Amino acid sequence: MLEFLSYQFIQNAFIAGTIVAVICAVLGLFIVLRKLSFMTDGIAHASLAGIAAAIALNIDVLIVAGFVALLSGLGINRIREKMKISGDAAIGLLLPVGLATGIVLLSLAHVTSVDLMSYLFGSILAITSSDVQFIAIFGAIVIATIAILRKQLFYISFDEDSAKASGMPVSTINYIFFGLVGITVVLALRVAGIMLVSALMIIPPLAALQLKKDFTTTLALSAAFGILSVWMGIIASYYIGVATGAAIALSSFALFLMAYLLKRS
Amino acid sequence: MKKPVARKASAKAATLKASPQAVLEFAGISFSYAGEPTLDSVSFAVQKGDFLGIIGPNGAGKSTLFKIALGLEKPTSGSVKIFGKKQPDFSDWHRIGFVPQKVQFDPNFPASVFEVASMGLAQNTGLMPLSAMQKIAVRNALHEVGLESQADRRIGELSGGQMQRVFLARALVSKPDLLLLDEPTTGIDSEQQEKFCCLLERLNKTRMTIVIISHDLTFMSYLVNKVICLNRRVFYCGHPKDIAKSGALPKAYGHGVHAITHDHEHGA
Repeated sequence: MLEFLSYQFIQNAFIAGTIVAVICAVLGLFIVLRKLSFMTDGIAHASLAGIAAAIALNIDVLIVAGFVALLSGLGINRIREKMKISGDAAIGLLLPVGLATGIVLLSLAHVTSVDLMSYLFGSILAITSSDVQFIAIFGAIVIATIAILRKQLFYISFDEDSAKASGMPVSTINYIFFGLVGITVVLALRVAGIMLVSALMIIPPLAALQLKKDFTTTLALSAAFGILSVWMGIIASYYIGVATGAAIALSSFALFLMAYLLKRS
Repeated sequence: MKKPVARKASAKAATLKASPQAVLEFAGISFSYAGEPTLDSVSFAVQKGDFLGIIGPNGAGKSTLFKIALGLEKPTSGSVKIFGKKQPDFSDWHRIGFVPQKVQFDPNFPASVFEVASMGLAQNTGLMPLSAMQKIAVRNALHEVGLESQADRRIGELSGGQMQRVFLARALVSKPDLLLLDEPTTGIDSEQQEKFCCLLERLNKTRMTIVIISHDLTFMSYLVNKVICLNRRVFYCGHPKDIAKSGALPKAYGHGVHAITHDHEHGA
């Protein structure tokens, strides 16, 4: 039954999927708690401009999309802080700009829809060994940064004003946080795609929150739900023959429902 | 409300000038918000060991003063010194504890009482988990506010008064020398208020300097040994028992406001 694990592309999918699931779920918990859930979709859509530019110029998509996503994350924070626009409105401002820029670039470069499909809906089974290395390196950077800043991020997520009043460099930490979200969204693009990235960043934390535990436990549960979603999605995709990104998204929703019903019972 | 334990009068003369003992000094602070002046040349100093109350009507600029002291707002003119250092150069933030008026948080936030209290150490714990000593400090702070037994409960399950005590524990966990409280008893019942006041009195007796903002003049007259009456500018600075005679209240609040003062000497 486990013979499918001997395939290199399946192994790559499990390794990359597990790394992405952990960073998405851990960072996603802070995003959900800060009521910025829309942000992952905003950055993912904005990164279409980078994907389009990379396809049109025939250069590495992950690097260009990563750069655009990083700029989008930092840009959202800049708009939020300097223009005194709320986080969700700043995302709403940036999302259509990125999406429209991407569509314009794609039109100008006459890119076919086939080129785009893997970025819109993910293509975890097409992940190469060099993609895995890329995801592992940047995933390690994201996790290490969260580990260093976790107490500050926890405080800011709970009560940003008091965190500022305690002398904490909240603005600097926010820029780092929004930058990390940008990087993470791009790492998740190959797994779930632009359309389904929130399935990895938002649904596992929401499932963990249903169980009403303390913060440390919720963080661990969120990562566990993320990993389970990816594993269940890959296995279901292999045996049933459905799109992997969609199978991962539906698996994470099934886990959310299970957590909700478990708590209610 | 029952009266908290009476304190011996230790009122010093109204202190508008800085002294070597001053822990917090406001010098000529003016502040405008959207073109509207909120503070106008406000000057006073808080001495070590003071229990100072700031009273004034809504929009008087009381909370703005705290925001300026904590670096959350910049004054249009004037300067603030904290423990003798100019505010922008001050970095020993663990020496200040702050309890805001109302912490806006989601009641479903996944945080235990212990985790919220330990936020007070978020500045200096770095990569490592809390050390055994730091965990003891958090437990002690929760013990101080009478909530050690609730350490593992989720913060959202507590009553309003208990939550305020958790936020006080968060402010106390770094063992501050100066405690700033912005209307900490708003919206909590009289029994919880009384517990809170007794706790503040006990802390002040350990030489902790406390500055508290409140709307409640009676509450203030029981509790503090010095009061500032503020409405954009300082109308009174001195012992609470003298505020009624000073005529500052009608000037700051408008006519029709009377103070029911408490005699600190007799506790009556």
